[in-house]
Amino acid sequence: MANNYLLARASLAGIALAAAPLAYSGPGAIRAIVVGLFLLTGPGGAFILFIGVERMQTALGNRLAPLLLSLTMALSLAIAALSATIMLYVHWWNPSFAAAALAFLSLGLLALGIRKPGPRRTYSAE
Amino acid sequence: MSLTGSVDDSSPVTLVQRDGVPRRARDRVPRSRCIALALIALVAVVLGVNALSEVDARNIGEFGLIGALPTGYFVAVGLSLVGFVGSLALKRDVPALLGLQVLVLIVILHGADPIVHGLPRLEASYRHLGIADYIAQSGQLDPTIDAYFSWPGFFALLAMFSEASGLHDLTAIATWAPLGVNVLLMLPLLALASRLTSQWRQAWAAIWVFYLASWVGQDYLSPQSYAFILMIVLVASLMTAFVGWARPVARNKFTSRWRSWVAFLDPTIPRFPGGTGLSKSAGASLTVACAVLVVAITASHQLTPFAVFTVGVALLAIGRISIRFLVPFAGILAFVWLVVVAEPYWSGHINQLLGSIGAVNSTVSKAFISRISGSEAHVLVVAARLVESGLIIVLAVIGMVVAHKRRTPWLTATAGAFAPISLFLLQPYGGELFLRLYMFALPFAACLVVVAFMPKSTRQSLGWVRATALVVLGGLLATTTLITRYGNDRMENFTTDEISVIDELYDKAPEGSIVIEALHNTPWRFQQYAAYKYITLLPAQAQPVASRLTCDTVNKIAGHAGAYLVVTKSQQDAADALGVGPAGSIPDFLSDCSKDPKWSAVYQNGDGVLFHIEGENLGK
Repeated sequence: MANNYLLARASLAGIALAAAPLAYSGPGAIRAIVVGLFLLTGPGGAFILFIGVERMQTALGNRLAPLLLSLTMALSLAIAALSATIMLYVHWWNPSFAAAALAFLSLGLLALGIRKPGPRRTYSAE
Repeated sequence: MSLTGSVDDSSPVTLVQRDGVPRRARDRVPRSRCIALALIALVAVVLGVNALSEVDARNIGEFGLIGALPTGYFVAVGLSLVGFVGSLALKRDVPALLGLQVLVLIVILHGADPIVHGLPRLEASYRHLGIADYIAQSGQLDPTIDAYFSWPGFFALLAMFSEASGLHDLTAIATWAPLGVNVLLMLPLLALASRLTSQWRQAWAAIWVFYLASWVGQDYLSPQSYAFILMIVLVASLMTAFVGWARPVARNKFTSRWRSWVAFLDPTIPRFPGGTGLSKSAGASLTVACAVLVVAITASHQLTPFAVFTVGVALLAIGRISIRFLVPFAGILAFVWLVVVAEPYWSGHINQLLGSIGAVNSTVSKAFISRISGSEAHVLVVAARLVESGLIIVLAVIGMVVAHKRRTPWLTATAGAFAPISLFLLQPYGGELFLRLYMFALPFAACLVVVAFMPKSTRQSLGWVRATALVVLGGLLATTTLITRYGNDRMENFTTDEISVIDELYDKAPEGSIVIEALHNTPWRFQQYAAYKYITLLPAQAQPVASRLTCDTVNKIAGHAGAYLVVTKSQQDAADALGVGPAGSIPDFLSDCSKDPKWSAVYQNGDGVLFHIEGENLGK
């Protein structure tokens, strides 16, 4: 199980690292795929891993994969949409910067998530 | 990690497996059977995609796609149904196999538009591309253009993706959106169904029924499909992380009796105030995550926040979610957004907004009666939609009764399915409210529909009778959905020739020109969204006379500056199907007006014509 989360962290970090420069320029199809994949999974995935899904799994029951994956996708889309909307309302439209900033924010959350203490054992089962 | 979570799944038998001890031998699923079922799915998808790619769109008749489908397609649907039910009949859940079967159904049933036509479906898709393009190019919102700019979240997301990815033409995304949206919906639906049901079989069967009965076609590139995905995730998250009553219900007699009544109706609902054992920080983080979803939904679509609010109130009332802050927050935010942010929209439509509050008769009339009109084929399609929806309601009610007798969960799904109906009190939503209510209700109703087809517990086998009944139900729903979803195919899809006419329009008409469509069903505005004055002569609604369809009307609109008029095959198909004006009114209009010396056809192909109407000064 721990390996799964390590793999998820590494994958998200890889996508975020690639998306930051590609948000400014890069080869057509690869740029679209990486940025699209990042906006679909990056910010939400980083948030979910930051708050500690291992502990949520213990507290909320073990069969949470569909919800966590859904939440990753929905949160990513929501955060990206809200970032873009805020830029429009403050009249500062810079999508490449926003995508790169979200990538670095995601990397930060992923790094902070690693440094947080491991699973506590005080949570009651569902 | 398994992909469902339900009451029976937490039984000791399953827990033993989770701890690493092998399942009992009788619960093992033979690998050969899994491989055979996976092969059935693969054969189904190859056959189905091949059959769809063979369809000649010119053969699509007035009953829509179903008449043009080759036999191989129906074999593929049959194989898909058998494959899913076979996977459901296994002794334990094999999520990868069940997921594969559902994915195959999605491709076969909901991937028809992109595979057959290769272009975005519905004229609204093209408008949505234009709004995203406008935002991407200008970085501005202009709420005076139309209501979309008052709820810009989804379009801002598209624009951001377009600019940051360098993919400035999003047509391919719009084309494949029906397939993509349904695939993205699968896990959220599974997460929700797992919280609404007591068996893994019921949860998977509910998703299967959702896709089989989802005829509304709101899965195109649109704010409502985006907000719908977020809404399903939000409700599933709330029901997972914040379980139970929001307040201690034993405080007074009324709440105490209410709790007893709820417990009598559905004993599976927790009796005591909530608490999942989450730490304060984890709970707070999840609350923030849910609040972010609420804000994104509110910023993106007019109706969905109100659906979230009504479903949230219903779940609070039956003690299914314990979080107190989020539901009022959703309601207040939706109202504040409407009043403050969307002020430019409502200030121009105040009578339309307030006049329809409580006018249930008018709303029902616009949602049902006014839609049952037009050609015989169109009336049949609308009738089939009503029958299919009625069938789902009847099966859901039967499921409620059966679940109550079996003492398995039903009240939460019922509350979720019926709560959005209260939106009928608000307004007709352009006559589309019934479609939207069906869409909001279906994920919940599907969980009830399948109850009667399930064994009493997971440990019982599905059995031949239930399995056969499920295949028959699946076949009935799939066939009906081919009519209800694709029945209007001729007017909802466009040809490359029609797009060529619009490309010529943008090529020839200078910015600022008046551009006219004969009937509101044109694949335009995907670029230059605000650079032209777009005018529609006839709405896409039934009306016995087409009073505005005269040469004089167009000449007056053209005025001194001149104008361009677009008439396409899909406009004529929509006029014929919906009964807009007398039969043949558009060809007659064209025949008469093309003799006018001020009118000249500047481009024409088999599916459309572009006229230039000279201004009065130039004509003299």
